[in-house]
Amino acid sequence: MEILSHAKALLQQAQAQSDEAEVFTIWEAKDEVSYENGRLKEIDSSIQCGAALRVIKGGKLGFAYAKNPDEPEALLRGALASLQGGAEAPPGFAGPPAAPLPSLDTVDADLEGVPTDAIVAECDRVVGWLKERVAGQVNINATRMVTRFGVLTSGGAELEGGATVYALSPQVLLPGSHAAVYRTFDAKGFAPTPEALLEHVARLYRATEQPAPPKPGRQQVLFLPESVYVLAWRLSAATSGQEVYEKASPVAERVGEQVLDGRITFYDDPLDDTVPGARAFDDEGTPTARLALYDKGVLRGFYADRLYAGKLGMAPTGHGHKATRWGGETVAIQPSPSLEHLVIAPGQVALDDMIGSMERGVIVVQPLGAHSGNIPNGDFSIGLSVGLTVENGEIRGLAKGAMVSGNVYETLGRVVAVGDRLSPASFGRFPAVLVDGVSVAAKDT
Amino acid sequence: MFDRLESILAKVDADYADVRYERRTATSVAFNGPELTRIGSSSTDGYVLRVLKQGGLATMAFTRFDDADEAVRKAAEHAALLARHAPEPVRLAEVEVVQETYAPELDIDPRTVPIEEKLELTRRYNAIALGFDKVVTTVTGYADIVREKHFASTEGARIREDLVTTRTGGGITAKEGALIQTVRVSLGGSHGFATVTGCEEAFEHKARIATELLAAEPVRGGSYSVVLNPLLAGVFTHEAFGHFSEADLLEDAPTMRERMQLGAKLGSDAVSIRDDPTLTGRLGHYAFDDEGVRARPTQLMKEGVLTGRLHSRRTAAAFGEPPSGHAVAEDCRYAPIVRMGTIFIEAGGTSFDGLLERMGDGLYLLDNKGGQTAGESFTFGAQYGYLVKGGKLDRMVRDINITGNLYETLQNIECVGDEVAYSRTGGCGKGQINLRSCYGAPHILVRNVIVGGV
Repeated sequence: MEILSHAKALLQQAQAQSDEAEVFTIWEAKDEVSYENGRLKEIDSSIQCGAALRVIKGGKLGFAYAKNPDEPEALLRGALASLQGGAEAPPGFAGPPAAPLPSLDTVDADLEGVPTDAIVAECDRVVGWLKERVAGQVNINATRMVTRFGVLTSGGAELEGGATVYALSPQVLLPGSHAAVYRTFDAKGFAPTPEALLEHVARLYRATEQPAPPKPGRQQVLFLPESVYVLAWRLSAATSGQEVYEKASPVAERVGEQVLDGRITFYDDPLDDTVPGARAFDDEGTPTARLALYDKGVLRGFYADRLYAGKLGMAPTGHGHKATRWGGETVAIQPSPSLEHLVIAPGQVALDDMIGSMERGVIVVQPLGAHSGNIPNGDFSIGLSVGLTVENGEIRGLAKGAMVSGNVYETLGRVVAVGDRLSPASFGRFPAVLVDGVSVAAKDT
Repeated sequence: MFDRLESILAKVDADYADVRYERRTATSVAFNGPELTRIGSSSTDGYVLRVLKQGGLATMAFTRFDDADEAVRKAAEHAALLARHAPEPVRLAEVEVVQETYAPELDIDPRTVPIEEKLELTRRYNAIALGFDKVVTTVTGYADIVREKHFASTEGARIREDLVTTRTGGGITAKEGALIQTVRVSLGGSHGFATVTGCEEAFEHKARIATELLAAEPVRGGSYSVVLNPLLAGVFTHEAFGHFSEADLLEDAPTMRERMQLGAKLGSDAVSIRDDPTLTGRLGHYAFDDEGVRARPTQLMKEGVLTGRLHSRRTAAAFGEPPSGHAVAEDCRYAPIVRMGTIFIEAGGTSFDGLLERMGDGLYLLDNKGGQTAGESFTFGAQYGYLVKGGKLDRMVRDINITGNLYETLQNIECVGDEVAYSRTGGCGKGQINLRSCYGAPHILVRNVIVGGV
């Protein structure tokens, strides 16, 4: 693959002027099709490439990046200049893998050639299906992405990979609002969005058509997969090797303890190639593996990149990623501990049975402001972009103007049930999670 | 560079096309706790092509000039596809065709400041926060980001503009027992290096707040009267109101559009809101947007009545309203979308003490942390606050998040303070990040706000 061809020359030059060198390189092509109010609105496309160079000299780190591959001298100059600042380097860059890396099935070779017309036709089909069943405005985002990347180190790692991802996210908007119910379908190749997913979206939308103000006070709260990231974010932050090293994690001293309910197993699984984006090595060239952070509620350990693993005296876990969850350009970001393939293990209970078991409570369909609580502490305090009120096992309607607050360690200590299906969502793939005794603030009615 | 851009435009067979090339150079320094984790300077560059043909407008971003032919081919193909499917052809509002170069006036150009000086400055700020006993860690950073933009269109526009952004700040985390509290420092601007020097007091003040929060009580959830400080009132203006002044979010959202009709009385008489990218010295300043349109101030709300909105050329034509020059892209990877420049609530006549007195009992909330909106609902966090009893500040409270309904809250703004302050860093996400999104407000008094508590 040509992805490494420019990188090799650069690595050789960098190696000559440092103790160790590492080149990360990426090429990405993307087409994004968006529908608003049931009609094709925009097609934005992009072909991007770039490279990042890290060097180590005397225990110090140098870093630089560029997009156009015709500027290797600038990249080298930048990395060597950056060395002068004296940032601490990881103990070393990756060497060749000790054992052959598993061969992952991550590329559907046909996706790149699928005409954009075909994606538009699929969007039309989804719009038609939903419009027959719901009165709300239908928006769709469909994305096709093809990525190739490689990591090359002076220690002998020479790794390349690729991924194809097709995703379609149908949304039905609430009237007078941009709040929406949605669910995302994703796959390695182009495929029709299953009707069961569309039916779920339609059903949720219909449930919002009647207003039903929630009552304030502690009650049961059902987080749908799309809102479970509120909880997963806090668990992820506190199990990062960086937070542990910086003494900002409330669970730093609790490895081996039962921290969460026994029904919560929280793990990262980069090698699962049944879903898009599996990775055999991270962005530093460290081999990956499945890592359980909480196994049946017991804290098992932390995840780290090479730098923080070194500081904590542990082996790197293959979680050094140039994570772009909050935007930014992949090559411009330095690797840091990051869970990119996060899962909460599914339980046994079907969604309908979870709702049926709720005497009184709120369903968080879409949270608002997941980022504004005290994340290191595990606290959350979210508004409801879309929430539903439940009474006597039945959805009564749209819960407006309420805030759901708690602490993730208390909340996930009071689990009532874990759903039996995973859905792709922000931060990972999650089941629905029903918990008890969560504070809901609302106007008294 | 314009020769290159013209050579790309010459290959396009369309009713209209434009192409932007930009180089973005970022210099950054970062500390995590006492350790320097990042220092250096790098550049990225690339092109963004937009093609309008028979009413279909497609965009294509690409890194390498060698990909220009492929970009032109694909953009034309997608424009044709859009033209076939779009219910109504896209039109671009008529604008002045500009051929101009604009370089912002800078107090000190950060490009002339050695990186060693930026490192020492950041080290000093970081040490101030770490000097507090209960502060366990910090994330302290410095960055300057220079966007050198070239814009050319088939209408003949040729524009060069530089955007220079400087920023410093980060998070300060204090801990006692199991309790962790984090506050933020956010300083910077659009007019040079002096916006990030001399900020010692701000770091000291915030480190003290982080420490004091360890002894504060969590706020009790419920419905309150609140006085928001300018940064919080500003983030409310941005999140709850500003995004629905962005015409691209309304264009194809008929039920929202119906509520946001010009002339609708949406707020109380106390509320007047403007957006003005031409304010030099504010973070949100620019002269031309990424469609080559000259920016102009826009009155969005006057005494509670909706009077205007923010437009791209496309939305201005679709709404039949004047273009405002608010189509802005994050960088060379993106086509422009409608963005706020500097949005602010205009000053009223009441002093801060007067607002507290008028409120009586309630909460005084300060400084934003996060914020999100989804149409009529919004949520955002306050870094800290105080109970107010009988118009007087009382004990400090922590863990404050508020939620509300846009329409109700605009009506519930009872009174507006007499002095506007503006944000000095940005980072608004709308598919792309806008580092220069600036908001401002005076102190405001709002009734019936839902506060979440643990």
